[in-house]
Amino acid sequence: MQSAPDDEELDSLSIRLVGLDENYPVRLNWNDLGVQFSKQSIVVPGDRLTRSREFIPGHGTLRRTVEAGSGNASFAAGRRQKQNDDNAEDNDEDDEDEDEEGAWELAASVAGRQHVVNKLLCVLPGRSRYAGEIGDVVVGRVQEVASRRWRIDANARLQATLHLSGVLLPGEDLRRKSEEDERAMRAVLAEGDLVSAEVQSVQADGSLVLHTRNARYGRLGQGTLVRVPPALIKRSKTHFHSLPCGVTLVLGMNGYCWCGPTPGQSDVREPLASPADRSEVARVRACVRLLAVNHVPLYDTSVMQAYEVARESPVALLSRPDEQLRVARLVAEQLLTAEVGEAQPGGGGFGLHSGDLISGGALSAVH
Amino acid sequence: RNSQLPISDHVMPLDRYRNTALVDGIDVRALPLAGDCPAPASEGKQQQQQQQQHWFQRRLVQDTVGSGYVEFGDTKVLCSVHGPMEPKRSVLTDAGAEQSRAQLQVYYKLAPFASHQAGRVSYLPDETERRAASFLQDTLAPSLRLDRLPKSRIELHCLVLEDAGCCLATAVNCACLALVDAGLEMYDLVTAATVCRPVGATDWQLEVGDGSNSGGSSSVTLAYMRSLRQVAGMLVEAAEPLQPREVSAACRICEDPCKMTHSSLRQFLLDCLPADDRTAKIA
Repeated sequence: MQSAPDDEELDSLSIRLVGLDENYPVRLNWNDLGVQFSKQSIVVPGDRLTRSREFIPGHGTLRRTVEAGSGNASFAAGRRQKQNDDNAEDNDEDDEDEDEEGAWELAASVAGRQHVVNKLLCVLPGRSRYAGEIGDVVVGRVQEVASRRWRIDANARLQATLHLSGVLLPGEDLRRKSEEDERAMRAVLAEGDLVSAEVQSVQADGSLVLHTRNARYGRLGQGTLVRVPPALIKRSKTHFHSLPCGVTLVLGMNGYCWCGPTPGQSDVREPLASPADRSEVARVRACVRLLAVNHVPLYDTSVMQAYEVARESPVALLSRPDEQLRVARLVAEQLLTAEVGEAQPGGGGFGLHSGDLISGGALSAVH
Repeated sequence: RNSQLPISDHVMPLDRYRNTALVDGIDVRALPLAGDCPAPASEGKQQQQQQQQHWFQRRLVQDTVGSGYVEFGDTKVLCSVHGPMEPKRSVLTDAGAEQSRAQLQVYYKLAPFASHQAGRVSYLPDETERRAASFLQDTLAPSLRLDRLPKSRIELHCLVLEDAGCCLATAVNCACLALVDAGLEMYDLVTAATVCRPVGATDWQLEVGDGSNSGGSSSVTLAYMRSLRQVAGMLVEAAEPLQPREVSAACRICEDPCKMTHSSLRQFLLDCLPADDRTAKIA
């Protein structure tokens, strides 16, 4: 056993707690830019939403019966209804006749904000797993080559499936798949390859079925993948962007974004990218990352603006939090002034149309 | 205090790559604190009031779906949630049961420096930690809507950074915060409290995180869901034979602290959620 250290040693050993300085915010604070987030309609799991029967339970809500007089909530009768799909209107009308014995109420099951769209009441959490919707463009990584299908990691709950019949093979595109095709699957997509695809369907258990039956989908070549929260990807007409700096950006709706040098015209195996091209790709990747970290919505305009701001800085500087904050703040200000200047039909902010998210991405992206 | 034998003798051979202990190391808590760190000695009523308050934080851990951190007095627990993800394919599990609802797996560990009483804790989970993990699993699994996530697996990792009493209840609170942060559907917030009673005493006392409750006392941990008015879990650790009415009296005493913790957790979430939501209209 050592003897206890004396005072002089202690001064050199003293441990100072280093915390984040109040004056040094590491992430973009939208309140500083004048964006106020209302505190109304924020709910927490277990909160009662409504007792009115006119609302249809959407995502993030659950029905529970309230025994009259005692104030206790139980799920005995509510369990039947939860078997049905939450968004199916027909089933709900049938079930309302069954539980006439007790009042029931809608309660929140996730922490988030309530949304009411006509009669649909749902609670959207701030962050959730990507669930997928038919027609979404996703970027995934092949994890397994199984018989006549590939299993792909698409940032969802379960692995996505890409069938051999869903892939556009070179040659005639409607020919029947033969045995040689099955054996040659690894020549098309091997384990670890990145692929851009479109969601063909969503199975009952929530897994996605993808397809690449279009010339713009397929295996992604040289480049880098950035993983961002799926909620930040704004749904737009196209998710494949060829930026003027020679970089192709694919913003997958599942939060996987791929940046790579724009391939040439021919189908010949492309040469290795030059160092100049690589540094441009790295710059675009850094822009996507810094926007994601500061919760700025991701679409071609915002990435382009971030690239313009960050064009002069060395790429390594863009991984520092203070530089990320500076660039993200400039981009956010530009996006906000652009939105205020244009006439917005729905009144949404910073490039995101709230109606857009409710009807499209958010309802599917939150499972 | 530190055991006399080098700890490497107790550890399985698989752990040779870890530097398990310094035989003549000094316990950090024996060093007088330097600078402006607050002293952990809990004297005075104000200090006790502070010891009974929770301090919440979330989204601390990168690359996880959700994470939470709770301090209750000196007890500090960090939880992170991974998933939902592909279930582990095992030949032994029943295929039907596996696919109908998600599996929740809880991993509970005390950090090696965490325990005030037991000295250095081994890297491998021991019986106390396994029991705590199974309590957390039994408590939290009913509060999650696992049937909404078929064919999935959710992993919850709890790391106790400092155990100054009431660490299991704090772990329940922290796990609930992490699960809410992950956006998983739950029936209600689960909060827990612990009461303990030294051997021979008659009154149950609320256990707080100030290190005053040493081993050798009976304790009852109750996990409660306030909006549903249902008990999610109960763990009784008896140092002496307990009558059923004593245990039920302990549960009744636990109910109020659980409700207060529920309020403060709910208030914390309501305060920090607005900044989270990108779909908000500008108010």
